[in-house]
Order: sequence, then C-alpha cells, then structure tokens
Amino acid sequence: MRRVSFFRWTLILVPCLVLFFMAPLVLSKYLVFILNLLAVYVLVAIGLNFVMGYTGQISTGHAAFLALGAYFTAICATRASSLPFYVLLPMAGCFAGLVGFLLGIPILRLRGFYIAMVTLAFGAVVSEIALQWSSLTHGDDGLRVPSAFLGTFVFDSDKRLFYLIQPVTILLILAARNIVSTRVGRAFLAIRQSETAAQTLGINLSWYKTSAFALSAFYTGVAGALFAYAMTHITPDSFSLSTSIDFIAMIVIGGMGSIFGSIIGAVILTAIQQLLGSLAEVQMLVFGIALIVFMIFMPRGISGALRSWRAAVKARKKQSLENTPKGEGYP
Amino acid sequence: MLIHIVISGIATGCIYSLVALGLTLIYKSTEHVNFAQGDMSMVSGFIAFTLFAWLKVPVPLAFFLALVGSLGLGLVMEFLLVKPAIRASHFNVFIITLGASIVMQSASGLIWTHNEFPFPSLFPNKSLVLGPVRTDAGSLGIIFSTSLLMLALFLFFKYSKTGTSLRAVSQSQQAALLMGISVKRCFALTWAISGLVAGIAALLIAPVVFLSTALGFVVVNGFAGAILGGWGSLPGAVVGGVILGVLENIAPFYFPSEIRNIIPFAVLVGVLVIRPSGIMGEERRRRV
Amino acid sequence: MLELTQVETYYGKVRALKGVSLKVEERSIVALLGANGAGKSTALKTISGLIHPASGSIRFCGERIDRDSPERIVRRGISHVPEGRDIFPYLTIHENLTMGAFTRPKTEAAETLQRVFSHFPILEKREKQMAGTLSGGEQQMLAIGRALMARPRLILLDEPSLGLAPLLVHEIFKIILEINQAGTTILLIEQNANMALQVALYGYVLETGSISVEGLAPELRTNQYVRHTYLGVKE
Repeated sequence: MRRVSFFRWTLILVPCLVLFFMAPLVLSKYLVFILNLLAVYVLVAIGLNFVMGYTGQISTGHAAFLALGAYFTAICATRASSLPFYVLLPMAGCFAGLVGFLLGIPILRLRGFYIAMVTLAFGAVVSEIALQWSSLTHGDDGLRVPSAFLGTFVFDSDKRLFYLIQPVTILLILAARNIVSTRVGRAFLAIRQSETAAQTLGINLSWYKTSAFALSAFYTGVAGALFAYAMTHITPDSFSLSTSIDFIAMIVIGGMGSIFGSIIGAVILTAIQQLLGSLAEVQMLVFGIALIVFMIFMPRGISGALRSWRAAVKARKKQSLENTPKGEGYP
Repeated sequence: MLIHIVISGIATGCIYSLVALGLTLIYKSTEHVNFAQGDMSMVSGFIAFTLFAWLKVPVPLAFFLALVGSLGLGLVMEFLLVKPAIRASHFNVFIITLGASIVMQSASGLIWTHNEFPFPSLFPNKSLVLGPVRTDAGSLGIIFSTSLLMLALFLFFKYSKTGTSLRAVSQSQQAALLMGISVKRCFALTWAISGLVAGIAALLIAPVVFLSTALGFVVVNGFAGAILGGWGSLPGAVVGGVILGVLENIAPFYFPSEIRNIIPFAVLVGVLVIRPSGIMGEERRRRV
Repeated sequence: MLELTQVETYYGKVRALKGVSLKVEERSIVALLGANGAGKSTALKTISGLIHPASGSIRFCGERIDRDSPERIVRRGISHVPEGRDIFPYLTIHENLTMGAFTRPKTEAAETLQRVFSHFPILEKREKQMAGTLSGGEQQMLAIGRALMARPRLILLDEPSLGLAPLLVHEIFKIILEINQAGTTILLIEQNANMALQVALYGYVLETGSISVEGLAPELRTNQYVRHTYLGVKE
C-alpha cells in the first residue's frame, strides 16, 4: 500500500468524517440501518481477508464466527445485563477468536482445500447447534438482543447505534491497517505467495496461519456482536451457508488482500442485498456468477483492477515525460 | 438384520464412491478440486426429470439422454470455467467451482423450484431373500451397477491407449506434451468422464432421496469418503466412500439418530486430525 | 535440418535467450554447452514448443515451427528428452514406451519396441516394473528409449549424464553414438563438455542467453577459452 503524505490525507479525511458523522441527522432510519449493516460487513470482510486474502486459505464457513459473536453478545447481555458494551464487544471478539484459534491449530497444517472442507463442516455444525440448543438460543424463534448502553444513555435506535457501530468499525479498520503494514502483515503476504518460500525465510508457518485465523475470527466475532445490536433480534438463518458464500463473494469482488478492497466488497454486497432483497434466489445467482466471472477475469477484484489501472497510467505518464524533448510543453 | 443394514450401507457408500471418484479423477489429472461435483449430479437428475415428466419422453430414453447430457455438462464446465482460467491457481479455480455450484443451485431453483420430486428407479422395488439374508433389489442394483462402472473405468484406464494417456497426463504434463499427447483434450475428457460419473450417481441416488436442488450436498459425503480413503487415490475413493456409507447406516443403531447428519463431518475432521493421508493415501511430494 | 535464427525467449520476465542463432545439420550430433542457468534447457524447450519464442524463427527442414504446439512438433519428428528425465513414475516401462509411440500407428509400435530393447536390453528385462522404481541410469535409458519410440528424425537430449556414475555415462554416450549412426540427428545439451565434444561434430557455447563461441568439435577442444572455462584445464 502506498503511503500518501499524511497532511494530504487529513485535509481530505477530516471534512469527510464530519459529514459522515452528521449523516443520522439527515438520513432516514432505513438508510442509517443500511450504513450500520455496511459497517458490520466491512469488518467481516477485513476479517475474512486475513484468512483468504493474506494467507491464502479458504474459509467456507465464516458465518459461524459471526454467529458466535452475535449469540455470545445476545446471551450475555440478557443474562448479565449490567455488562456495558465496551466489555461485551471485546469479549465477543475474544470468544470467537479463541474458537478460531482452537479450530485453527489442528487443521491449518493441512493443505488448502482441506481447510475449505473443514470450515464448511464447522459452519454447518455451528448453525445446527444454534438451531438445536434451544434452551440457550431459543432455536428457530431466535433471541432478542438487549440494547447496548453507556451509563444511562441507551442505544435503542438505529441512529443512536450509528454512533456506536461506526467508531468501533473505524477503530478496527485502522488497527487492521497497522497490522497489515507491520512485519506480521508482510509475513501473511509471504505465506500467500508461497508457503514453501516463506518457511525458508524462517516464518513459522503454523503460528502465523493460526494467528491469522484467530484474528479473522476475532474481527468477525466483533462484527457479529455489532450485527446483533443492529438487528435487535437474531435467528439461525442469518448465519447459514449462503451467508458464508456471500462473504466470500464480497472479498472476491472487492479484492482480496487489501483493506480498500474489503470496503468496496462490503458496499457491493450491501447494495445487491438491498436491491434484490425479496428475490433471494436471484441474489444467490448473481453472487455465484460474480464469483466465476471475477475469478476468471478480475481475480484481484475491483481494488486490484484499480491498482493495476493506476500503475498503468503512471507508467504511461512516465513514458510520455521521457519522450518529450526538454524545453517543450514544460509548465 | 445387521447384514441387511450393512448391505444398504454399502449401497449408499457406492453412491458416495461415485461422487468421490468424480472428484478424484479431476484432481488427479488437473490438481483442481471441483466443488460442483454434487451439483453436476443434481442438474443431470433434473435433465432426466424434465425429459420424462415435462416432455413425456419414455423413462429409459430420458435416462440415456440425461447421461449424454451429463457428459456434455462436464465438457461445458471445463470449457467455460476451467479453460479460461488456465493460468489460475488452484485456489482461484476452487472458488470458480464454488461459484458454479451456487449458480447451478439457484438457477435450478428458479427453473424447477426447491421442491422434492419422486424419481423412478432403474431397479424393481422388491425385497429379496438370499439364504439367511434379507435385502432389497434396489440396494443390490446400486452395488451391481457401481461395480460394473468401476470395472469399466478400470479397464479403460489400464488397457486403453487413451486411458493410459490420461494416467500419463496426471503424472507429468510436460512429459505428456512431449509424447505428442494433447493435454488440453485430456483435461476435457477427464471432465466429461467425471460428468458421466455424476450423471450415473444421480440416476442411482435420486430414487432413494428424491430429486431436489439439495442433491448437490452429497458432494460433502463424496469429499469425506475420498479423504477417508486417501485423497488422490482412485481405489481410496471407492473404499472410503463405501466405508462412509456403512458407518452412516450403522451409527443410528448405537447413537441418537441425529448423528447421521454429522457423520461425514465427524469423519472429515477425524481423518484430517488423526491421519490426513487417509487409508490408502499417497503423499505426493510437492516439487519446488 | 534445424535452424534457429535470432531467437529471443523469455522465462517469465527474464530474457533467457537473447538472439540465439544455431544450426544442426542432418545426421550430425551438435553439442550445446554452457554453465548452469545459461539458457540451454530454455533453448531446447523453445525448440520442442513447450515455450514460445518472443521473436526470431525456428525452422525444421525448411518449415517454421516456432508457433507450433508441442504435439505438432512431435509429429513433425522432433523428440525431446527433458532435463531430469521426466518419465511417468507410476506407469510401467512398457507403458512409458507405449506412450512414446503415441503419435505413431499402432502396427508400428511392436517393431519399434524391439529396436529400443536392442539398444537397452535392461529395459526389456524390467518391462513390467514401475518406472519410478528404476535407478537413475535406467530411467535415463527409459527416457531416451521412450523418445526413440516416436521414430524421430531429431532428438533433443537435455543433460543425459546428469547424476549418473561415470561408467554409466560412457554407456549412455555409446548409445547416443549408436542412435546417431542409425540415422537420427542429435542436439545435445551437456555440462559435461568433455564427453559432449567427444561425440559431437559441431558445438555451441551458450553464456547468459547468447552464443559466445561456436565451431567444429575438435576446434573447440583446443580453444583456449573453452578449455579453461568448460574443460577444466588449468594452464
């Protein structure tokens, strides 16, 4: 990722942020809800990217971690209603992260598609537990999620939740950017390019792969908690195989291995879901076709294509500059 | 009584073996994993259904045409999905087959709905008594036809020039090219054969579990069987599939009946944790 | 018979062959020498069609073959024995050889098989054995035998002596001479320049993608630079 000058960023970013945080004052409840959902998807995308985009493993059951975070939050908030959200959110994340870590240990030393199969199984098992363990999860009926609160301030509307969900999301995005630009992030990328080569560089493969998986689970778990707050009522069908596939489609379209790509992917997922809301079948068809078409023609997703386009433009500019004889056309 | 259960288990297992076989064939020659293998069966089943239920084609002819269709489906998939992605990594191609699986399921849902449809069986619906053993013609029919197909495939691969060339391609694409073998045509042929195997699997399983868009999930059993038997091994695919089928049929007698659904998963995880190379697995050394 | 003109080939982004031109006369043995990474294997792969040149031309018996697929090139009569032998490990010797005759009519195969066995009697002895269980030398013989099954007019040999004991190396080169005397043209890559120049008629030295020296084998053997760099003679 290119490091653009810090000052240029703040000049653009600050007014954008201000406008962004004024959104609930002007937009309808529905649109604010969409923005909240979008934030959740961005976090899921970033989480999934840690596994698929950076370390090149395939997770076909990621909705399970969303479920773990969501149900953990709902259940704890109901049973221990004095716990404030800033304790619940990290706890939900850590719970999901721990499960991810434990799942990762045995399976991540195996080859690529085995992980796809096991995560598929894992997703199915979690979904099944959510459905069957009715004493805990109320099965099919689903669970009501008590609203988050801060002291006496209760986040009981979409507009209020906006001010909880968005800052948390932005914080986690920044944290992700940091992780990715450190040694850890570069190690992840190395693993994706070639596990064998990475090993020769002394990168402890299992440790990194398991950590990436745990980190991914953490992010998705937190996203699950926020999802629970946003939906106020959760049922097992929000966490099915189709959901997991939607998530994969999200990062394939947006672009794997980049945070910008995660955001694009989340935007597109949300857009398609809302546009084709009632036609669930057509939605799945669209995502399936998108997976195929993107993987064949744009395997690095939209963000990857943009990056190549920018690089090509730069290269052409450089060439034309070199071709112009000195003294002509100089501004 | 137990033998009766084991025999139906073997029959179920035979179907899993067919799916596992289709998966392994493609993997062995192209090193790609075809997530849509089960859905190929599903679509073949629906082709047959459309022919005999909507177009009133006599069932035997419908079955024959459906098998031709399944062959074609394999070729189409190779042509549309794998060939354009010829330089793509296995990761990418796997996701492409994932996408194909979804497209097939949702498109089928739109065309035929997600309902279940009864499907005629190739075999008469009666029970047979062979000495002390009581079983049904259906199970025996499945076991017999699967065995016949496996024999045919074995003979094809071992003794025919084309079959040997397919084996050669799976061992070294470069050397095969240097023999004058068209590797591209071999890939297409492999997918066609896998498609045919999927079609036959459909004709055998649909009568038992009814035809529906969820038929594709049998791919999970296929994977579990193939991994149990040793991923990458053709005999392993057969052995693993049959064992899985028997396990699934016996388990409800000793455990609560819900266990039946999670057995493939349990087997998957179990094998991968205990002995990833499965029963007859060959650990192919990765050339760096 | 074979003529490369200004062939440029890329290996990924690296320019592996830079304007290579060479000729192989019919019925001769030509040696292509050079250190590791000089581009020798790339040259052979470009000829056999595994890689396509970015520019330049390759002519075989007057016809251009540089855009042909490997299968077409085999049918034209060029067989390539690749580096590391690349035999089919899970096929038997017999099956490996049969695959060699893939492009030939079925009726011919039995006779060609006998011919190959006369060059390599040990292959006949182990006919039903799996190729992967053979020793290095036997695999080399299998690889060459397999190439012969296609009745080629030109054989490209990539490092036949690699990893073989000196006694076997002599065996192999004796057989190479036999094959040549029976009428097959040979283009030979070798790091073992000594042996190569003993059997070859003409030689080329490839250094980082370009031909640096060429000449009749006896001349190369006495060439100072060649002696120093490739024949290990310190003066």
